[in-house]
This record gives sequence, structure tokens and C-alpha cells, in this order.
Amino acid sequence: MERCNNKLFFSKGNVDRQTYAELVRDHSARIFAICFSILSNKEDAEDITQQAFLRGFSDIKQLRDISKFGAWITQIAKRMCLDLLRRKKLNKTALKQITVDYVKDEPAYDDNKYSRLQSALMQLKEEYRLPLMLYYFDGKSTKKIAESLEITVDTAHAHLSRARKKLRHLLSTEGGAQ
Amino acid sequence: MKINCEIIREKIGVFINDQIDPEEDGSLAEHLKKCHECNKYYQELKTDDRALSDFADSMRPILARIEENINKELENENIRIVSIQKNKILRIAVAAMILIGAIITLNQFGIILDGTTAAWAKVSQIILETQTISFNVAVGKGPSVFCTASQKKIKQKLPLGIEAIFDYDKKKILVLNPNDRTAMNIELSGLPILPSNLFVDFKSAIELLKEYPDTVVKQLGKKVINNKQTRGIHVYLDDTIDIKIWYDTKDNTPVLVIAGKLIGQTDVVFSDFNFNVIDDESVFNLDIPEDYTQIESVKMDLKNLTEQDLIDGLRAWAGLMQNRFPEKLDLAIIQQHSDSIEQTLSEKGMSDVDKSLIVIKIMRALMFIDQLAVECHYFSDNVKLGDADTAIFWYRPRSSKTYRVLYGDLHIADVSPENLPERP
Repeated sequence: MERCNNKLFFSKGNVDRQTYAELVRDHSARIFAICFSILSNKEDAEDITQQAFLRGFSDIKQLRDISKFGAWITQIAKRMCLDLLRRKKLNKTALKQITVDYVKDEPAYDDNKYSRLQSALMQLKEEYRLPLMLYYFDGKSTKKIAESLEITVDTAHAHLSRARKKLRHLLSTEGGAQ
Repeated sequence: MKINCEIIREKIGVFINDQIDPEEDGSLAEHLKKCHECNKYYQELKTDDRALSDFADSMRPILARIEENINKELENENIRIVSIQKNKILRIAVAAMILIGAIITLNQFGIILDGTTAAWAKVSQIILETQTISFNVAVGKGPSVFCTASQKKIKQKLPLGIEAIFDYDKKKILVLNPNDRTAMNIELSGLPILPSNLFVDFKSAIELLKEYPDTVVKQLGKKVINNKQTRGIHVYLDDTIDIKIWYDTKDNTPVLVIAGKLIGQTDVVFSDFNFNVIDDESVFNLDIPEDYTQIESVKMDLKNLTEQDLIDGLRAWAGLMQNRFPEKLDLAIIQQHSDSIEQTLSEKGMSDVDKSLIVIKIMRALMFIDQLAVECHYFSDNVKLGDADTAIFWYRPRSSKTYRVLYGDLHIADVSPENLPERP
């Protein structure tokens, strides 16, 4: 073309489908862990994880630096989680169900095997739950937690250990993990 | 517990985190053999570790399903991502219709607030208990718009005294122009999701966020605003949400709210709040007042967007902007140029209906781009309408081997990848 001052304003072509599928594979466990931590509900977490990645694909043009994909998709997912919580809040009856059911009775979970563990997890504060979920869902690596939460590996260790202690306390008051 | 045991237990945590067997550390293994308490502690954590591992493993099928579903969607010919993000588009779209010069896009009013501050508890309570509210709102450097809102309706006072009433249930907008006593109805259809009411958003966000744990609340000190003594609180979460509220020290009512870092937009400033301002909803009545003449209704259909919409929209834009094309194909562009759009439309002596139709055209073009979700490119610098040799936009439709290329004269052609225009 003759003109030389043009700028590339946006390009959705930066990431093709295959590349995006790889990004999904690399980040889905982590995003699921984050959604699960915030939403305390695996169905919602599944739904939002899926939606967040699809939205990521449609909005990828807004991402200038593909190396920041992890942080970017995390923000998208977090916002969507909060938005979902917000919408659920609109209905107060529904809200009561969320807070009461998940914490106390645990009937929403199908698998009895993990019901006590899940119940304890849901009682943990999110700051403790998140590192635990990241650890177990995403490769049992403190280094990855550190990257994901932008903290040092030592801090990741500290957070995890504290979370383990809190969880143990909750489980022991309810009679063990099994 | 002995100091030694404390150190040992910290070590145990690290060992479990790193999945290392304590046997690998002589002194640790020895201690565990001798100290019953520490050994018990280790065994418990180990049990929890196994349970958590199993639990995570039990979720693997979900993760596999997520990936599978996403891949399926990515392959889908008609990928249309209806998500919360679309909410923003809608609001921009709707607001652009009725506000032109003053768009309100309070998308994702994800304010996170914490109930820990006593003052905040009171301030938020006032907001939550209100049924109706009025306030001024300004987006960025845009003009301030006076709004009155109830749960399902909102009325906005626009520049030139024009009023717009939006009924969220009926998906109808009534625009009243007192200058020439004309009224216009706008009906919205084809909405991917319902647009939401910023007042309800605001309330529900606050309701939720009062309980959300990850929030930081800081005091901002005192300030006199509109002769009122106020105190400020700054509330933020991570680096995603940032909001400042100044409230009246006498009665804890909010006086000024600045919401920053909302996705893709500048600060939104709310001021001049009044709570429970109206007793009945007649102010939101969509019936046309008796002394007003109805000019034709406009239907705004937001579905079935095609290339033709892009062409029509670009032509409409060029018609307003000295035959130039927009510098970006982004819905925010309408907002950025709202002043000159409004001015040009007025200079042309267009009726409100015609003005609206032009803005709708431009919006449809931008919305067509927005939902494209395929590779596309746009270059518009120095291109003028009619420039038949210069490509301004191209994209590859799904499953197509060739590209669709749009030129400056708005004709479109199929071009093979090797013949694509060079990138500057």
C-alpha cells in the first residue's frame, strides 16, 4: 500500500484458535480454582470458567501483550464471578440459599465422600481457600501459586501452611477429613 | 509446644507443600519418631493433603469438559459470545441513542465495599434502603446528566432540556423534547441480554460487597463539598476496582462518588444525591404528554448484523466527518466524538428521528465488528470516502479461505491471503 502512516488499531488475528486452545489448556485449571474459590460452587465455577475463556477469545484484541494473558484472563474471570454473585444477590431468597446451603448443610454437593472437606473449604476465608485451590488444581506447585498471586515463593509457602492449619482446625472440630 | 516443635511444624508444612518425604531430612525424621504430637500433626496434614488431592482429582472431569466445551465453541461457525461484556455494549448502544452527547456506561458496577468501617455500614445502609434516587452523573469529561431512578425505570435529563425515560421491563424509551414539544418512542429488540439499571446495579453491588472479604477500605479525610462537611472513604480491591465516596458527616448520606477503573472507561462521577425523591412512578410514565406531538417511533433491532451494516455505518460516519472514517472501530468512538456528531447533525437541521437513525447505523456497524470474533484488520489513516484503491478493513469469515476486503469507496471484494494488502 502507498500509505505509510497507518497504524494497526486492532487485530483479532494475533491469536488463532489453536493457539487460544493451548492458552485455555495452560490456564483452565488455575482459572477454575479461582472461580471455585470465589463462588464456592463447582457448577457456577465451571460455567464462569468457560464463559471467561470465550470472552477472552472475543476480546483478545484488547490484550496488547500476549505474555500477560494469565493476569488478563484472571481479571476477566474474577469480574465475571463477582458479577454473578451480584446478580444472585438481586434475589434475596436465592442469596439466603447460597450462603446458608453451601456453608451449613452441603446438600448442593453430590459427592458425599468430600462433603465434609468441601464444607470446611467453604468455611475458610477466601484468602486461605484460594492458595489451597490453586495448589491442588494447578500442579501442586508453590512456584505457580507465587506467580499467580504475584507473591514470593516463601509467602506462597506461608499462605499455604496457614491455610492447611485453618482447614485442619475446621476439620478437627467436625471430626476429620475422611 | 516447644520452640523446636514450632520450627519442626513449619518445616512439615514446607515439606508437604513441596511433596517431599520427611525421611529425606534426617533431623526431621528423627524428631517425628520421638515427638508424638508433631508426628500426629504431620499425619493429619498428610491425610488432609491426600483428601484435597483426591478432591481436586474428582474435579478433573469438569476441567476436561470445560476445555472440550470451549474448543467446541471456538470451532462453532456462529460464535456469538453473549456474556456480561455485552451488557456494556448494550448500554453504550442504548445510551448513545438517547444521550448522544452524554453517554452513561456504568457497565459492571463492580464496586467492592467492606462493612468493616462503621461509617461505611451507615452510608451503605442508606443506599440500600432507598427505593428511588436522583443524582447527577458524568462520564469522563462529558457533561453531567441528571437522573431519577427507581428499581425498573430511569429518567435522564439531557442537554437542551431533553428528557429520556427508559423502562427496563418494557424495553422502551420515551424521548421528550420540550423545545418543540415533540416525543419519540424507541423500541429495543434483539437484545442479547436485558440491559440493566444502574441504580439497581449500584444497590446490589453494595449489598454484595458489604460482605465481600477481600476488600480494602481507607479513610480519605475531610472535605467541604457543596457547603457540606464530608468525610471520604476509599475502597478498592486488587487493582481492578477503585471507588471513593464522600459522605455527609451529619447524616452519612453520600455526597460525591467517584468510580474509577471500570473496564474501558474513565472515572464516573456521581453527585447531588437525593434519596427517596418520588412517591409514585408517574414520572416514568411512557405515555406521551397531551401537549406533545408524537413523531415517528424508532425501532432499534440489535440482531442480524451483516457486512452491509458495516458499510452503511461507515458511510454514515464519513458523511458526518468530512468523508473520513473513524480512527478505530470501537463502540467508545461514538462517545469520544459525541460532541462533533451532535453538532454536525444539528447543523444539518435533521429531525430527532433522522439523527437517531444515523447514530443507530453507526452503532450497528460497530456492533457488527464487535461480534465478529475472527481475525480482522482496520486501517483508516488518510483514507477518504471514495478511495477505491485503498483497503480499509478486512477479515476472514469462519471457514473461509479468502478474506473479505472493504475499500475506501466501500465496495467489498474476496481476496486470497497472498493478495492481501500489506500491513503498513
